Amino acid sequence: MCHESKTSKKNQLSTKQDVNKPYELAIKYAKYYGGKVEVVPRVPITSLNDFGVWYTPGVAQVSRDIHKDRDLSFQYTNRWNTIAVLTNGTRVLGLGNVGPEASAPVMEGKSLIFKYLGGVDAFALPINVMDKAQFVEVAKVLEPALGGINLEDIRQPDCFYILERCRKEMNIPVWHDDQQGTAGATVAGLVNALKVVGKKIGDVSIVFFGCGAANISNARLAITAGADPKKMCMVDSKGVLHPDREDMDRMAMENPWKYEFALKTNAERRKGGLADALKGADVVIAASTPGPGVIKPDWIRGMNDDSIVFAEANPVPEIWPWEAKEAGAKVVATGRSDFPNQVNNSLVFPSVFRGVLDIQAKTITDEMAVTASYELAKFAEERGLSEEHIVPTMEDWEVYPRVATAVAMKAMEQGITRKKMSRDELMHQATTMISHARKQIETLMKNGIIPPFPE
Amino acid sequence: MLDRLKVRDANAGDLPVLVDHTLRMLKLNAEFDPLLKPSDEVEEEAFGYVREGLADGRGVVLVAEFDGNVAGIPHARIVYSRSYAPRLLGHVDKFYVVPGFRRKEVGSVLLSRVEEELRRKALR
Repeated sequence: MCHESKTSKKNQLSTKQDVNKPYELAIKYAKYYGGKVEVVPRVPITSLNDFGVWYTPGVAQVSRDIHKDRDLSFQYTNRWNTIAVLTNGTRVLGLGNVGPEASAPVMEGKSLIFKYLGGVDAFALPINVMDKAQFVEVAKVLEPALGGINLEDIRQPDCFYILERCRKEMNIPVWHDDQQGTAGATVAGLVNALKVVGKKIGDVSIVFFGCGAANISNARLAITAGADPKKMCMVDSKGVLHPDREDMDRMAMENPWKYEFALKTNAERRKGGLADALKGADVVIAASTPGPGVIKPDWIRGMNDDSIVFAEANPVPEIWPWEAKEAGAKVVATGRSDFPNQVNNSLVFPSVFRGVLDIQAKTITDEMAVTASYELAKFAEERGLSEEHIVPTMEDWEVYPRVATAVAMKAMEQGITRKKMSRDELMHQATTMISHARKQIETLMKNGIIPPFPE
Repeated sequence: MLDRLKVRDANAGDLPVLVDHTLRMLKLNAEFDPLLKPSDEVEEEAFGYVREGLADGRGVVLVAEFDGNVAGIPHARIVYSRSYAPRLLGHVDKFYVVPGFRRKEVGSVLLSRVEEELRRKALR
């Protein structure tokens, strides 16, 4: 990056007015529109007589049939395309534990993205349940109404417990986007970044900086994709994880997921902080605290040649991309749309759910998540890989049906679906559903039913 | 891996690692029961306790090592019973297996070895 563009980027980011603009608009629009999603019928209503079919008495026959075969609920009702965005608001964005009511606008925003990018009917469902075991019970009693559940913004380590139990005990896909969505996008980026620098995933040493939901899941999915845990190093606020660490016993009690990584990673038994972990490393994947300055350029200089830096903290990455590049990084990715290589879970969750809903899958396995990563990576590769293009962008809308189809095919291969469809049928279905959602929104806007932005 | 596990009597040179692992064990107990909160003087107390154990002829303090790394430290002693007919009782005071060596039967090996040592000392 040349000096001029660096300067302009810095200036752009330091303009207070620009930084605050989205907050001002969000409040203004929230007041004006009164929420972001609503229910729209799927069936014609020509007169009130139609309700004799859509509702009683006609609907009774639909109920009788579903009573005989519960899976018909996926065929005769909108269950097949309905999910809940389920949260207790205990870790919302970077805001922390703001509670269920305050999490609602975020969940509505998620529902909107689900609809627009995936054609999925997602209901924002913030619940007042703080106990993790009780949360699982609530998720389970909601199952008959839903084709899937997207868990969102739940504090760690509760989120690991909830996801693990829901996946095990429920017969619909349950996904925690802060873990799996982020990981799906990260691994897609990692696969292509490694192609750019000509290294193999099984050979490289990877440092994960930050041991929250995102990076625990990033590490898990990277292993599913072939990374060697012995060559991995995880670093939290207290330093490098290793089995001799003083807080291992507490970790085993409080966060067994992190504890497992402390045991199985870092075969070299490195100790110390991030700087020590980064010495000679090929890749760093940071999902820690907002920067800049959290990762020092000097530490990047200490990495191997052609290093790969993923600085995923929002709103400001742990290190500015140009700083990382100047310090020797070959490929840099962040979570931001205004820099190249945005590692963005919005590339993953709409299409994963599109796929699992179309094929009526009963769960989402790690293999399905990796399949989503590979398809994303393949899509970007087809359009030409470079240091500044390792993942598709949200504008590449063709990527969504592609990923949906790949995920659904994988689910069929794993024998965990209620339906069987061909690749062509899946592609057609996903494309139709996504373009249908877009057309619906366009039509509503064109007819003034969705009014334009207020002045 | 058990064939590479070496169990030996602790000696004065092990004092720092014994104190460190005893402290870890005491803190671990607090995770199970908040009433077992380590005292403010716990470090000095652990040091004194371990030193006494090493000097006690009725004590069994062992160190399990795997490739030079400490895998566990059982600490037991023989006590005289005022109530029961078998007057000599083996009492395991502290038993700590390092996290990386758990679920690999290291604890079983150590407990068997502690029993053997206690019996041997009791007979003597």
